[in-house]
Order: sequence, then C-alpha cells, then structure tokens
Amino acid sequence: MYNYPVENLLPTKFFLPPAPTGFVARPHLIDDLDQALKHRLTLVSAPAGAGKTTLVSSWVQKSREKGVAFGWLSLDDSDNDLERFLEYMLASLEEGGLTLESVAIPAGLTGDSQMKSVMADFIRGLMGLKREMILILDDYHLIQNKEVHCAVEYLVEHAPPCFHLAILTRSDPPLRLARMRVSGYLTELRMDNLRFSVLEAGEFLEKAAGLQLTQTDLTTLTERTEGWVAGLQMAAISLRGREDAAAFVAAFAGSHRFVFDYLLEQVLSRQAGEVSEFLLKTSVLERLSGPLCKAVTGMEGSGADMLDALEKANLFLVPLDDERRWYRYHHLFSDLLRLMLEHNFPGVTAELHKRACRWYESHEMMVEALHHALSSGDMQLVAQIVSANVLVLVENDEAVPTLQKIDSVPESEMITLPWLGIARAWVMGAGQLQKSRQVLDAVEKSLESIPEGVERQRLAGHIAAARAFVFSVMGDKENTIAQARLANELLPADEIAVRAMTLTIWGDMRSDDRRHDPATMPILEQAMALALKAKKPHVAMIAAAALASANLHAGNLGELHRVCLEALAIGDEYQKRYQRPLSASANVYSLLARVLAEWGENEQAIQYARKGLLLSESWGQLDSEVMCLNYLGRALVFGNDNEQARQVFQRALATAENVSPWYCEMTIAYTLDSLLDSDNPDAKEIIRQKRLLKQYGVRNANILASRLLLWENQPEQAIELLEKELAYLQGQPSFDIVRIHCLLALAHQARGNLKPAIDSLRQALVLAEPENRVASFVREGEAMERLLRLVRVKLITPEFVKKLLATFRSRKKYIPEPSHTAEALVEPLSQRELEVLGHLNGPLSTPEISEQLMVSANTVRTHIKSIYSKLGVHGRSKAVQQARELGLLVQ
Amino acid sequence: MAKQTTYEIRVRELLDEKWTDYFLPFTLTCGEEDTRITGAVHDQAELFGILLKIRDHGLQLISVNPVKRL
Repeated sequence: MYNYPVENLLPTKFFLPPAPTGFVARPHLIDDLDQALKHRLTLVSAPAGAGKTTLVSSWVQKSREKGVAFGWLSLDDSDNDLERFLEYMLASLEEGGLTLESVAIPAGLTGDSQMKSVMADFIRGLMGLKREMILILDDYHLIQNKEVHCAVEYLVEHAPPCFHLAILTRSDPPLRLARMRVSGYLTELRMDNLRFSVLEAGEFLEKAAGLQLTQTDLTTLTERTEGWVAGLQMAAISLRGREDAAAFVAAFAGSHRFVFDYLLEQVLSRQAGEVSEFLLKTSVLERLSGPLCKAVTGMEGSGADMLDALEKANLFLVPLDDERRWYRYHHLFSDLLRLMLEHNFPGVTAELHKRACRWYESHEMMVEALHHALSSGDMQLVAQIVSANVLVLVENDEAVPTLQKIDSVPESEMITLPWLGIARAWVMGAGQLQKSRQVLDAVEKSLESIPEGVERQRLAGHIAAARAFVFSVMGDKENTIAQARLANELLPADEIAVRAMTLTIWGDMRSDDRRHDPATMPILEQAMALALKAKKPHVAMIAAAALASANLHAGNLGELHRVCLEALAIGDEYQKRYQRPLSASANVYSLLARVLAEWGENEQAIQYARKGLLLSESWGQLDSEVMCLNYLGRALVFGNDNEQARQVFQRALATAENVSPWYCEMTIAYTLDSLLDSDNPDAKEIIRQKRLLKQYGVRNANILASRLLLWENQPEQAIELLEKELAYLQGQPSFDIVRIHCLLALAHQARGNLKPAIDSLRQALVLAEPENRVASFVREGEAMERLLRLVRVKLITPEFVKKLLATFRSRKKYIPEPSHTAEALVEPLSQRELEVLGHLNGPLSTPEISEQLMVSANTVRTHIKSIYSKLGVHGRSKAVQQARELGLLVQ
Repeated sequence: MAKQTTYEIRVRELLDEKWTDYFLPFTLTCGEEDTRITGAVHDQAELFGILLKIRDHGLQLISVNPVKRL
C-alpha cells in the first residue's frame, strides 16, 4: 500500500475553523464540553448544520487558554484506510504539540493483531503526556471502515487518563456506546442540547444580521426552524434589509416546505443576479479560490472580491486557511445549490466541471483536474488528462483514491465507455501490465461497433499510444516502436500531449548503444517541441534527456551539451513556478557530467554528477543514481583520486543490484574501464572485475575487451577485435569511433608498427577535434602521450594536439584534496526539505514560508532544523551557501 | 434476476420537484405534512444509500416500510 511521508499531508485537515460572523457564545454548552476532561470519550452527535463544529472549535480556543493541549483532525472519505487514518492522527497530535516518535506505522497495515500492536505503541507514547490533551475528530460519520472503528475503540478503552477523544458526527458511530455510557466513559451532546433557544436565536439574528424581531416573530422563527442554526442562519440572510419581517415570518411559518430549501430560494431571489449566478455555478467546486471561481463562472470582476463579500454576508463560506486563499461551502448549502443548478439549468454542470478541470490542469494540480474530469462525465476528457499527465499522476500519493475510482469501473462499462477504458489502461500501465493489455484489447474490440471515422481513429490512436507505453515499461523494444509508429500515424494533430508522450517513448527506447539510429533524433526533437507546445514540462524534460542521449551515442557532444542546457532551463522555469524540481532533471545532470568529463573539464563534471546524484536520491530514482555514480567514479579516477573512486564504484554496484542485471553489467564495465584509466592499475583488481563481468554476460564490450587485450600485451587480438567493431559500425556516426582509432593506434604502436599507428591516430584526431574529445586520448596514459609528441611534428590538428599535451601535463600535476567532501551529504534532503531550502534562499521569514507552503510554522521549523543538520551548518545564510556549493540551489 | 423490494420512506419535510433527480430512481410524493419517497431496491446497500442522503441533508426520517406489491 502507500506510505504517507509527512511532507505530503494536507494542512487543511488540521485547520481549526475560525468563529463565523454572528457567533453566539453558549456558555452552558461550553460547560458541558468541559466535562470532556472527566471522560474518555465526548460524543457530539447531531445532524448537519446543527452547529457542532462551530461550538467545539470555540471551546477549543477557550480551553487552550487554560493550558489544555488540542489536536484537531477533519476527516474525509479517504481516511477510510487504517494506515492513512493513523498517520493523520499522529500528525494532528504533533500539530497539537505531542510528538510520538516511537510509533511506526508499517506499510500495508492490516489485520487485528497488527492494529493492536501499533495502537499499543500509540498508547505507550501517550503515557508521556505531561498535561491534559483532547483529540477531536470532525466528520466522523464519514468513517465506515471497520478497522478504523476498532482502532478508535481500542484507543478509548486503553488510553491514559489525561488523554481524551472527542468525536463530532452526524450519526452515532458503531462503537460500543451503550457500554461506555454504563462505565461512565462517555459524555455526549445531541441535537436537543444544540438547539438554539429563543433567546439564543435572538442574539444570533442580532449579531449576524443586526436584526431586532418582535418576541412573537422570534418565537415563531425558532419553532419553525426547531432551533436548527443552519436554518436560522439562512433566515438571517433572508431577513436582512427586509421591510416587513413579520410578513416574511408568517409566510415562512405557514409553509410546510423543507426549511432550508424554502429559505435558500428566498435568499437567492433577493441576491443580485450576478451573485446568485456565482453561487449556483461555483457549487460544483469542492474548494473555491478567487481565480478558480472566475474561470468557472466566466465572470468579469475579481473572484476573490466576490468570495470575500460572500464570507462577510455570512453566506455559508468556510475559509480553509488563514490567508483566505481557499474556501469551501458548507455542504448543506452547496448540495442544495447543486440541486437547483441541475433542475433549472440542466446540462450546465458538466460544462462547469470541464472548466474547473482545465483550470486545475493549467495550474499543474492534476489530481483535482482528474477529479473534475470524472465529475463532468466526459470520459474523453478523463482519458486526455490521464494520458497527458500519467507520469505525474503515478508519482503522486494523493491521486490514488481518484485513480482507484477509474480502476473500479466494471469491465462491462468499459465497453460502452471506451475512453474510460483507455484512461484505465494508462493508469494500470505503470504497474499492472497484463491487466492493462487486457483492458486495451477489450476496448479495441468495442471499437468495432463504432462507425469508421475521425472518432474511431482517434480512439485507435490512443489505444496504440497506451500500448506503446505498456510495452516500453516491459522493455519490449520491437513492439514499443511498432505501436508508437502506429499511434503517430493515427493520432490527429490536435492531440499534442499524447503525441509528445508517444514520440518520447519511441525515441527513448533503448537503442543499440553501439550503432546509433539516425532516425531517432528527429523523432525526439519533434517530441520535445510538441511537449513544450503542449506545456508539459515533465514530458519535454524526458524527451530532452532522450535526445541528449541519442546525441551522445552519435558522438555529437556539442549538440548534447546544448540540449542539456535547454532541458535545465525548462527545469529551472518549472522550479521557479512550482517550487519543486522536475524529477527528470537528475538524468540531464548525469549526461552533462558525461560530456564535461569527455571535454576534460573534470571539476565541472564532478559537480554535475553530484547534483544529479542528490536529485536521484531525493526522488528514489535508482537508475539515474547508478549512472551518476559511474560518471562520478570515472571523473574521480581522471583526477587521480583513486581511493574515493573505488568507494563510489562500490556503491554504484550495490545500487545497480536493485535495478537490473543490465545495470550491474554496465557498472562493472565502467569500473573496469576506469581502472585501466589510472596510472598504475591494480592487476588483481582488474582480474577480479573481469571475472565479475563474465558472470553477467558481456554485451557491449568490444572496446573494453580490446583495452584489456592491450593491457595484457596482446595487441594482435586487440587489432582484430577493433577492426571487427569498425566494420560493424560501417561509418555510421558513433561515439565509439574515436576510441576505436585511438586504441588501434596504441595497438600498432605496441607491435612497433609506427606508420599504421600514426595513420590511426590521425583519423582519431581529425574526428575528435570538432567535438573536443579530450578524455578519450588523455585516459590512455603515457603510451598515448608519446605518440602524440611524435605526431606533433606532422602538424595534424596542431591546436588540438597542443591542448591534449597540456592536459596530460596538468593531470600529472594534479593532487586531489583529501576527501572531506567525499559523499557531500550523508543523508539526502527530502522533497519537502528541498522546497523549504528553496524558500530559505528568498526573502520570506519562517512564518511567511509556512503560509506559502500551507503548513504550520512548527512544521517548517522542524524541516529547517533537519536541513541544517544534514548540511552540517548553523544558520540560514550558511545553509544557503553550502547548498549552492553542493548544487542544490538554482541561481 | 435478483429479488427487488419496494420501500416507502417518509420524511418530515416537504420536498419540491428539484429533489426528484436526486432521489431517482425513487419517486417523491408530497403529502400535507410529509414526503413519501418510494421505490424498489435490489439490496440493503441501496436502501442505506438513500437513508444516508436523507441524513446528509438534515431531513428528518419518520419511517421506512416495505410495500407489498399488489
């Protein structure tokens, strides 16, 4: 299942709602609630709109002054998962000041005995409480999961005396309440307690709307609404500014219609058209913000101003943060508005959801976008959102419940809703390959019932694209390319994002490293351009990395460098906008390390490799971690730091073992190659690595094999192997050609045949100069140096030879610094920490940062402490400085 | 074909026609002082689904009774 790191928790769930306008203090109820401290469980059970949350949150504010600690957790549907529920409960206790460090919630928590074991830890942790603490669970009626109920009951039964639980709910929870009552564990407030008295109603109407009604009217109103504060609130809004309150009350009392319904209609009929239109249209949103509302309603003015006005008018708007950026409606209000919307303007709802979907998508909030796409009922939109953003969605924990909804649609419906089937296949594609293929086959079959035409072709194109994705994950090169080609033919021009994805998959497929396929590059160039056009930086970055890789294989180092820098620019832009790095950047850094090493810019190569390494670690990307380590190792050897290099290669192999045998093979090959780069390679070590390599099977090792043969004094065999390799390449552009000619030169030299040696060297130099292939020569050591000195006279690429010889000299002089920066960070920074670090580099204070990130100031301070400790510094400016040196911060 | 039972659910409030869609496939009939929500369900889960809708709107449940088909 899913492990929820602290960074990913939603801060709104811990947000204590502020007192609304017209708040009436109800001291007798506060006294009742104070009884909580004498009971294990306080139950506040009453229908929606009775005033539970307002009452309890005001009680919390008051009690804090008395030194009681409080935790608040607003529950939602997704908390019907024991693991998630407990994580959030822990976090809400932490927000309340109690950190239970010893409690570890295992992933995949299930079963009674596991639950009891975790709860026992919990309870042990609670024993450390030094003062009274109350944990409040709001909206408990949303919990239907038996395991969660069991955990809660266990907590109530066994918690220490200073810990109290309070549950707010619309219906009595299925706990053993009767028994708790009898044992004296339970105190409760119910609807009868919460009803507003005539006196209280009068106070409320005055505070909320400045109303002064006659005693008769007040009594009538209170009786008609039965003291239900939601009804009173609606009445207050209706009565504002009305001349004849008495007539209104009389009419209201005379109607038998549902109170809320009747009053809402009254309220709406008295609002300016603009306002009631706003209310109706925005009722489809789960959360509201100014810009979102503006986009959905299509209104002229400022959405934020409207929301502000609605809050002041007491129109059931609840803020979700201190900054008033996000709100939600009280659900009674929005539910009814939705009914009205559907009834009076049928079909509009779908369009509104689509607008919301598009707004969220353009703001990189894919989970919400997907949610609205589903609500719109437009399955094609759903499929588009999924296919264009699948990589982002599968990385995001919060997407899981929504994706599960797609997953849970029965197969039979897939046939009638082919787009939904496609969305589902994309989603499964990352994990359940077999099932995904089955779904795609089923959808394809269903196409037969659709008449030939544009629609059918579009669907077929999507099916091919999804298939390409699945095959690429499986590593099936042939089928990936076949499907990608098909998709490219079938997909219409306007499907930019999917085409970008498909082209990227096509180009990215592991091509033959030895022989570069010239067709790859235009495909990837197109992919990158399309991805940028479709505003999908994630995909653009992957396409760029693939394009860079392709250029590497072709030996176009200059182009590779250019593409990498372009990719980094995309990453920087993204980081500035969304305060988090693009995960694909790690790959780009590793490629930069590669090219700079080849150009002899060793220091920079090391820097880039380290940057890539840090990012790979943060994102858990083992494959790029391995490559960064390999390039780092090689650069270290080039810089004569053999000891550190050895450690790095060791780590690379250990990591590669968790990736695949092919990565292990690659790593050993790199290790071996680098061993041969050093001045006095350890013979034993070489033999050991050779043996290791044999275990994995040798795929791409002709060059490595030739080098080994030279080292073992068998130049004839080396020449044979090298010529064979040349023949295989048949003059196609390849990174390896320069190396082949270099090695041929050395082999001829070893046999004492100077003329062919110089011929080969000439070829190498001529090919190498335009791309500045310094390292290919310098790594071959003294023998190569001697050859180059000979060749100097012949005036072959004189400038380049001069540079090479200079590099040889400086390499000898270079003494590495002792490794105090060996592994720059013992423990990598988490994603959230990287975000906070980004802010440390800016003008915001800690409280301002916490507002920006929508977490508590305490949480930010915890992160900052951790950052300092990991960087080994004290203080913000030192942290920023160190982070810059380590390449963690973008300038 | 699963057996279906018809239920009549009564709530205290009078609900107008815009609620019709919401309670489909149940039908609404307004009396003088209550609304009757009537319809066939396949299973208990469907029945509880309707009851939850009633709860969540703050409506007051009066009774839930199976109706004999004539």
